[in-house]
Amino acid sequence: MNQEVYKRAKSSPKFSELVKRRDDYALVLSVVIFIAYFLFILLIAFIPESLGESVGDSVVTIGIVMGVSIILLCIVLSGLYVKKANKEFDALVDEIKEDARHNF
Amino acid sequence: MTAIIMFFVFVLMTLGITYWAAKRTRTAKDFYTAGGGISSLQNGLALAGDYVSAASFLGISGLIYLKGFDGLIYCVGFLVGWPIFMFLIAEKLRNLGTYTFADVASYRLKQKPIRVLAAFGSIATVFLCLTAQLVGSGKLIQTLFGLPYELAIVLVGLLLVILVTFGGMLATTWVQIVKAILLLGGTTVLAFIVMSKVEFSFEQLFKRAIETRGTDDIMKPGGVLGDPISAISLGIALMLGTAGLPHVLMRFFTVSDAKKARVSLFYATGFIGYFYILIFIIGFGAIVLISQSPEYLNITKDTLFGSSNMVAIHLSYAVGGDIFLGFIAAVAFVTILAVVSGLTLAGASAISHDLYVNVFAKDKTDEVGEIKVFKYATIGLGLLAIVFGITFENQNIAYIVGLAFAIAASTNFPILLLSIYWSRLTTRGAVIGGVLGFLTVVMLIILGPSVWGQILHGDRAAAIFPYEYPALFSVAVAFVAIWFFSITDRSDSAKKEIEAYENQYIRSQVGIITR
Repeated sequence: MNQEVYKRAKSSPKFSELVKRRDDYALVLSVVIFIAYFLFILLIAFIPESLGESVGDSVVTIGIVMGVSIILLCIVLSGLYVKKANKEFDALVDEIKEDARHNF
Repeated sequence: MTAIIMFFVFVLMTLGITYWAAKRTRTAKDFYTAGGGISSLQNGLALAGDYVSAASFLGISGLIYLKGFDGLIYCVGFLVGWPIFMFLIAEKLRNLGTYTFADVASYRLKQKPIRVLAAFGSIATVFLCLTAQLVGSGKLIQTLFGLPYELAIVLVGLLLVILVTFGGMLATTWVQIVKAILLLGGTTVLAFIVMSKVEFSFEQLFKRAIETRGTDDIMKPGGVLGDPISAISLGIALMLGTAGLPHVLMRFFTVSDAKKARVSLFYATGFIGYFYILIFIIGFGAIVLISQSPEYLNITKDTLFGSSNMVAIHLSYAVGGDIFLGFIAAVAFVTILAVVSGLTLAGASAISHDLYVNVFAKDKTDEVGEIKVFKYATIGLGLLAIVFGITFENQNIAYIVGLAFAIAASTNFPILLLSIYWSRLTTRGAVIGGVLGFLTVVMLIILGPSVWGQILHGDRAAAIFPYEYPALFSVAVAFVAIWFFSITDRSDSAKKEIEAYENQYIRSQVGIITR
């Protein structure tokens, strides 16, 4: 019986919409973080001099700017995801569950 | 003296909270998940509290003090796992699980082997984290009260056992919340005072740090990560390890649904990121403000008194005198106490919930029995951690935690990720891959420069495995082995497990559908 409910949930077009939109969005954000971070790590590993360059006339180096930027990026992207998930994805999930419960 | 009084006030407050919580903990659900009724903000604070441990506050500030930029690499690495965790794992984990992440991995796979494996991965991870925290607390008490290091470790070990056995998850969560607020407040003040001494200009801060050190090496990548392989390896361990830390994963079950799990993760990411930026300022502030005052230096050894892990503590005295020292030391101590409780809790849950209930007693047990096992497990873990804490006395705590992340990234993480996303995963693949990942990482740590070299032979160069961090190899071994032994698994049970994926998949996406 329970099985049925889940089957129904899955067959709903809203389900594929949810999965596609949410998983795609999550994947894109993950890839952005992944690239930024591994660029940082690979630079440290192979061309550390590049991160030691100063930014303009300042004593601050590219490495420090990059490191702090990645920290900020993590916070900002998490915020973006939560905003979208709370507004769009949760509504879809609720609709799917509601439909699965009632549409026999 | 003032410092010591301040210190005790805060520690007693923590114990008071535990006592309060202990009286409210009745069922196993209360015990493991604080009744499931923790709010997002509370859970976010508790997550941040669990995560920003003594390794961050004491270890990374010490690393920045010594090496400058290289400490920042840890800050970034410790944070990047969080958004990835949120995007890919958190909600699905909440939708599928109950108490521990093994519940999720064994959703469609065979309970027994998966739980045993998950328990081992969890215990090993928790254990190294515990060791790191104990080393920090031992040094802290040694510096503050002049007690012998060994005695300090034993005292902290006993305290943590009391805290966890009586309070359970509710107590640990509240201690964690109080501590997170104290720690964020304390570091904010500390960083603010540092900035006020350099006219609130980062340019000035860095300039004066360079002047004090007499070299601008602290502004660029230095030797901490060593060769490229070690650097990449640490990078992987930090990023993937976060999503495999049992004490972090466990916190997802203290909130009631996927939405709360997600929002609490956002709070946690924000607090942790903010905290790491402060730590960076504090580390550089320490270079400017304390590295030339002879009172903090251990002249004979040419190092900081109480090892590099005590930089933040010395800095608090330099900028705020006795009272501030007492406050920061107490915050650091409560931090350690809170984190070790969270860790022990996760480790003991792995033993009582995953091993005892689901494997040995096979659900024939009652909650009372389960909680009893949990308490014995806590005592056992506490005692072992005391022994290890004494052995690892002079290691940088950030390094030890790096190893814990390597274990989490090579055992728990691959199984968790693939059990959620890969329909072809079978019990055979997960078990063989997980075991190989676990064995690889543990072997490589033992054969590496710190254990085989420094501890066993007194010479880092004597190591059989030349790299400090093994994750690059062990994570690869785990994933490849899981993949290979899953796709070649033609058994009937494998077929059933693959079929069961659909159900799990739907539930992971939308949660439980109730009638």
